[in-house]
Amino acid sequence: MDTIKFVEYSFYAERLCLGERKKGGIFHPSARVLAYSQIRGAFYQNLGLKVHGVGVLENTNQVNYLTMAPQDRVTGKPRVPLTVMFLEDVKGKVYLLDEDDLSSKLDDKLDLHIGGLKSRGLGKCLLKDKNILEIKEDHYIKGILNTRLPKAIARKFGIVEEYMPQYGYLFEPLDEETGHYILSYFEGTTVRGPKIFLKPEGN
Amino acid sequence: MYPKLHDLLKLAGSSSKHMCPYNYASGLQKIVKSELWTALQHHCLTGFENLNHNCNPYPAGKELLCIHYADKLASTISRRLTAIQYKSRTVFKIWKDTKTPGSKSDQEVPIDEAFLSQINNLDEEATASFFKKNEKLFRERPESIGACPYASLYTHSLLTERWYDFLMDNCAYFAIPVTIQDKKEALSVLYQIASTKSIYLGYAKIQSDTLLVRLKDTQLLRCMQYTLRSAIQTAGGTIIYDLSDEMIFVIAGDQSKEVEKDIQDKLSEKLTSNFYLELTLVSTKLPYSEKSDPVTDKPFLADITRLFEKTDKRIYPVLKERIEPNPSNEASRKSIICDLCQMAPASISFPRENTTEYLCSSCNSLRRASPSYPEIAQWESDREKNRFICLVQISLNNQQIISILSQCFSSQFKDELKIAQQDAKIRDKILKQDDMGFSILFEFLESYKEFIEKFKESVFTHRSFRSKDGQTDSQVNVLNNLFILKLYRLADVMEIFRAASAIFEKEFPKILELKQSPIRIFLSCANIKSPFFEHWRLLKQFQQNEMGHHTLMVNVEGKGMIKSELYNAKGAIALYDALVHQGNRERNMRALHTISTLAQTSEAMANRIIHYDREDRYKGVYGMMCPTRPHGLDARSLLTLAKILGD
Repeated sequence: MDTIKFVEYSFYAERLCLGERKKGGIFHPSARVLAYSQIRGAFYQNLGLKVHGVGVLENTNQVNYLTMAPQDRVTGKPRVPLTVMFLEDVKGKVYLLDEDDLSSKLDDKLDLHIGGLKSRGLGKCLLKDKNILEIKEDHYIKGILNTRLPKAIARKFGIVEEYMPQYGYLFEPLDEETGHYILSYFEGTTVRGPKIFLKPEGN
Repeated sequence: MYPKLHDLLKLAGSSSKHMCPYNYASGLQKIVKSELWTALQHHCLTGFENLNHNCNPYPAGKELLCIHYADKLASTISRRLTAIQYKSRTVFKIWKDTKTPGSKSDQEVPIDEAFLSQINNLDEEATASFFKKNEKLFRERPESIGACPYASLYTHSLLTERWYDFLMDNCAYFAIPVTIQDKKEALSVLYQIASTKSIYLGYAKIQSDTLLVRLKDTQLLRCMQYTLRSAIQTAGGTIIYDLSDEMIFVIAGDQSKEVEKDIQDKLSEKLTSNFYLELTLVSTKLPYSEKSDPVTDKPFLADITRLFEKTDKRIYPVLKERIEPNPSNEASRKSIICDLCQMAPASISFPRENTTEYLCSSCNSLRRASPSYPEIAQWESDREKNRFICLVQISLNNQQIISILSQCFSSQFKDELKIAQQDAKIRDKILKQDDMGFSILFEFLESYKEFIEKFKESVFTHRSFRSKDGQTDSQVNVLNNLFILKLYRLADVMEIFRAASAIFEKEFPKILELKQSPIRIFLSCANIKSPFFEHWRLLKQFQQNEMGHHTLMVNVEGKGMIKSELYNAKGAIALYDALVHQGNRERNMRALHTISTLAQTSEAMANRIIHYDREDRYKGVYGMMCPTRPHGLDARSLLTLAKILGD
């Protein structure tokens, strides 16, 4: 029977803008899930570690908006006001695959910046209550995915069977300048896997 | 063969006589040897022995057997509402009509000799076009006066044609011989199909996550129905019901994982990166019994109901595992992935004004295929003070329709349903939502289309939305359910409210009585320079109920929203009229501002002032705003109304 080891953290952010990729617009919405690419990017940028991890948010109902007029870099004049959606008082969990003795490299408490608008004070996150979690395959259930993670590595997270996919693409940086998009399972995908990544069907 | 005309004789006289064309033989001499005659003989295949004339159709061609079976299957699906026994010679629309006691007996209907003569003189060409030319007659006559007066003969005829096509296309699979020698062989073939041949029932809904950035991108919505249709046809399916973005289809095939996989693979062939399908497949067997038998039909009908229980598959086009930047392509270098669908590599630069969009080939071809809207460019160049436009979208909440129709039946046939519940024999037949059947749904959708047409006509011909010079257009029709109006005064949005409310009341009076509406209308008013995707974002939020469950809503950029209900819009219009025409308009506006600002802090306090503070300087205005709020508007909506009034 396969067992997967995760490093689990409690997650808290006062304000979080998980920018969706949208073209143009005077309104930028925020996603309500903490995707694999965001966790991987945040750990790499903040700690220099390349980890496999996802976040699962518990409450994303508190929403607020920030309106600002960013300056045009060429003309120096303000552009059309932009309204950005962000989540407030966000709680959840972050799960990192415990590979290559990762748990020993991580402190019990971590400060990370995740998401957009860092210059406006958004995205400051606290990860605490480090815990090692072992999940056996016989504890897997069928449910609806509550995060986003690449299809190619879904099995590493214990996603053993896919029933009804909801596909999208996540960005994966290759170096400082470039990257590519990888096919991923988005929230709403029906799968069989560890309960921690799922919400029950029908919710 | 003319399957659509198989029940043509129902239009000539009483229902019982349509069973055999020999009942009208003297008047139909000229067509006795025609293909139409064969279609009219569909009941004779098994019933010729019971009729007192020589209508034995044997040896019969496979076409007659298929039309006979197709008619049975079409009726089985439609005639599900057995708990209510009601007769009507015109289609009884539960959302519009009131039941009349003692409807005209079927026997009293005289033979329409002129109509018979018209049929008798049909040549091949005229027969082929007869259904289309006489569509109105088919639409008015119910499928069955007693068994199903709620669905039209038009719907039944279309449905029969589709089942016929399905059977004929799959004659080899169903082992239907070219010629059938006698009744025994016919019944043997039919019972063999019913007992041994599996088919798949499919319910597919087309979805898209593509961003609509420009008005031209609405081409995607125009393509949805066509894409779904061609995907089903590629998979070898026959569409039984076409509910626009949702379709029910059948495919012949034994129940196996391989067959299911093959169906899914073929469905995905016609999909582009803009679309995916939500699919439910149910394996079943077609029912057959010589005389209508609910017991035989039950498993098949239960399988049809299962189609709507839960979607269990999502079908995507073939997607790349990775989308890599292509250094030799500018669009790919800049954006890697398509800006709109975000499911395919960006390969084409689409420069416009101060920005460039990077699109995949599919999004680009959709945009290129879209018609252009020169009227809007013209409006932009107009030098008028008020430069507002209003985008109007009418939509339907599919999940609600069945429940609302079921409530309409329950409320209008209270007594009949009570009897049905008391009768032990038909206790299991009391009204359930499953009883509606698709044909009633189909009829409702036809009425919905009519509603849209009448609503558009009413708005387009209203003097407020006609151009002042009479030369230019003040309206742009984008899709069947989406149009744009140039607003000369912001207050004209209330005229759209008025038109919607009046036509809804006329077309759906019984639904109005229930104080519900499956139809939803959203108006988005903004400066003409405001980008389309902002309108679209609000439209999507409205459809996903992110602004609350309202059925009539207007958003005015920079001023706020009016949240109302289609069935209650009259109240809002009455309040608006009173505010405009009674007393001083400026004073009324101030009163609205005061009360709505107050209500934002405390609705209860605002209500109290309206109700008790009769000495207030706004006494007259508060009198109009009865504390029971027949207008149904909340404080924020009242504030928006005040702002519209002051524009």
